[in-house]
Amino acid sequence: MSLEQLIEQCKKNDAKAQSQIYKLYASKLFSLSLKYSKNYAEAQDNLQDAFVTIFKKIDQYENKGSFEGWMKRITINTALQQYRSVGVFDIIGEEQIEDVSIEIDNDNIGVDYLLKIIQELPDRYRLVFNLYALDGYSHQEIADMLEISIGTSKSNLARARLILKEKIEHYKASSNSQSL
Amino acid sequence: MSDKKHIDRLFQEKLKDFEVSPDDAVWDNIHDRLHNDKRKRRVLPIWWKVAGVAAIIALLLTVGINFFSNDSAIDNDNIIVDTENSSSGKSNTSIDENSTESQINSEEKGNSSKVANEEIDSNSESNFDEDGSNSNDFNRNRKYSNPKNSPQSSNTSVADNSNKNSNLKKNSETSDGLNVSSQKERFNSTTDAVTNSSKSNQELNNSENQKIDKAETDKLIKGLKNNPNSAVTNNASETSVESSSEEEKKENKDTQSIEDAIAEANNGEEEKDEKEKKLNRWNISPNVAPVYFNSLGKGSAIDQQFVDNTKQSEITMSYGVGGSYAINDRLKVRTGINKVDMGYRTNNVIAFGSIDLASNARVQMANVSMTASAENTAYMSTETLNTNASPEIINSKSKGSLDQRFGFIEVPLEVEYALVNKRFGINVIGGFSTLFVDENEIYSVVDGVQTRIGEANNINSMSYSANFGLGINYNVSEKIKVNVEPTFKYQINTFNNSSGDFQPYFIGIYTGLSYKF
Repeated sequence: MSLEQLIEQCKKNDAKAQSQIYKLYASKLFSLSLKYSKNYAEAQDNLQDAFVTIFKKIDQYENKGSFEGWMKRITINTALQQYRSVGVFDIIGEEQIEDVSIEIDNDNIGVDYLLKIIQELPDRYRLVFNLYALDGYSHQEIADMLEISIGTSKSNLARARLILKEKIEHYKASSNSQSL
Repeated sequence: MSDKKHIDRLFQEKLKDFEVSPDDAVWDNIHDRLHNDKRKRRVLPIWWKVAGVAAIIALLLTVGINFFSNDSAIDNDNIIVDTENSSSGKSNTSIDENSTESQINSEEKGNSSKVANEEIDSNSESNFDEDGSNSNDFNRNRKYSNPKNSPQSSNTSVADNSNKNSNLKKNSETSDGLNVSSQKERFNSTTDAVTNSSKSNQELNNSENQKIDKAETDKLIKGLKNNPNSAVTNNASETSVESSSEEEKKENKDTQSIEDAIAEANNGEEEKDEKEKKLNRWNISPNVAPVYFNSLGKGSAIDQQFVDNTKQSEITMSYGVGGSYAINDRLKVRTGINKVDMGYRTNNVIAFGSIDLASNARVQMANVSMTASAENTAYMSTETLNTNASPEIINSKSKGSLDQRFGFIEVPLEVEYALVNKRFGINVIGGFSTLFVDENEIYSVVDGVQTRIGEANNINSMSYSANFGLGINYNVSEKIKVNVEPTFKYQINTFNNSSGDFQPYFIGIYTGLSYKF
């Protein structure tokens, strides 16, 4: 069955087609959820909510643009929604910092570790870093989505990068010292 | 060596092909959330549809049966009248005769009435000559004969004519008075005339009746019900006039005996009618049943962790009373009220005070509201435990079980169709029940000690079941039957949240007596 046919079936709330779509995209969307979430459990919750939204709103998908992209947007929005409702965005005291270009050695750093340090970022740093660096949203878009200013978005991104860099360097140092 | 890279790029490249499969449970939850709502919403409409269809069928059947039974009643009347005519073989004037063409009737009536008139004339002359009181008798007889004739015209006419015949014969024998021989002759001639006319009427009837439409007969019957009476009363009055020339006392006795005969005949008729028309439609049947409860799929109504545990049903009881209404001799609609208890045991459960283990969300049972005294106790399935990895304290625990019990007030609405409808009957039963929760308890059984730990919080206060049964019954007498009905009841919407594939059902062997009235 083609993707279009599956989508058509899903619009009729057909459980088999939904299961097929889920199997096709679950791992991609789960990795996305993992990056936006604090931990594994939260990511699972987010994935679950995202898929429920996807299947409930699938009749709004009009075969324009990539279906995967549409599902990703829903997954990201679901993740953001969670923080929006909790209201964490105002917690961190703001001190604008300049955007700096941070370069790092491309060593063999495990993807698990990278994920771990992303998840450890404060909520908004994590969201902004994900949106900007990994999913290609502009600062303007991020500012709209998170209801913050562009400046805040830029500042948050810079802070996120610094934290990540520190952690990677620390990780390298500790693993180097262990190996010596 | 390592080349310097922008940190964003590092993350992008590393995470580009990063994919992780989520737990299977995620899909289960998604599926439940997408389809559970739908299922819940569907429950009622499906039953509304089924109930609607059943109601329409019942309505159609009732209307249809009434329609046909009305037709058959008319047919029966005709048949009864016909057989009477042929069996009595004498001077009968009946509805059927009169339903023939008016020409024939009038001709025949004319003939008979001519004779009758002659008779009356001659009799009245002689009677008045003899005794003035005879006119009174005449009137009295008329009075008698009218009410007699009204209910069953054909019968009374038979009785009248035949009895009068014999009376007159008797009278003529006993009396040595005047005009005896002439009366005899005249009377014979009248009866002959009447019998001839009625016979010919009958013959005509048989041929004519077939041609006449039902509607016509209906009208004719109504219209003509009075006509035969007049004809008959004429006959009766003739004969009574004749007989009244004899002794008054005998006359009175005779008329009484006639009345008796008519009454008997009428009674017999009525009884026959009652038997034919009155099917004992209502039925009441107290019943009792052992009930076996189980689930079609592997699951648990208590908690996720007990999905794989073995479950065993307790044999519980259901008792109640049902009533049914027979739409026809095969189809019955029935309802009633039953108390039904159910229970089952979840095996391989260990209990421990939660002090033993740091309070862990995992050990709280999802669907149980614990009583205050049981709050500090946790229950775990040993199925999911790895014996080697789990702490000593858990392994040393002896295995117990969780007993869940619930009771419902059940109101069934079922249709019963008889496949075999003899002294020994077989029928199939289908329908649904509405179940109202009236009991809900969970016990733990550890080392043989039973403790109430709480109640399930996921049982819907109202739920349904789809019922399928096979009934076997035996008629002990006209009114009393013994029934045995093994019935399968698939429960719908009983639990609003259960783990795994928990599809509860129960089987009851409903046994009882049913009494017709």
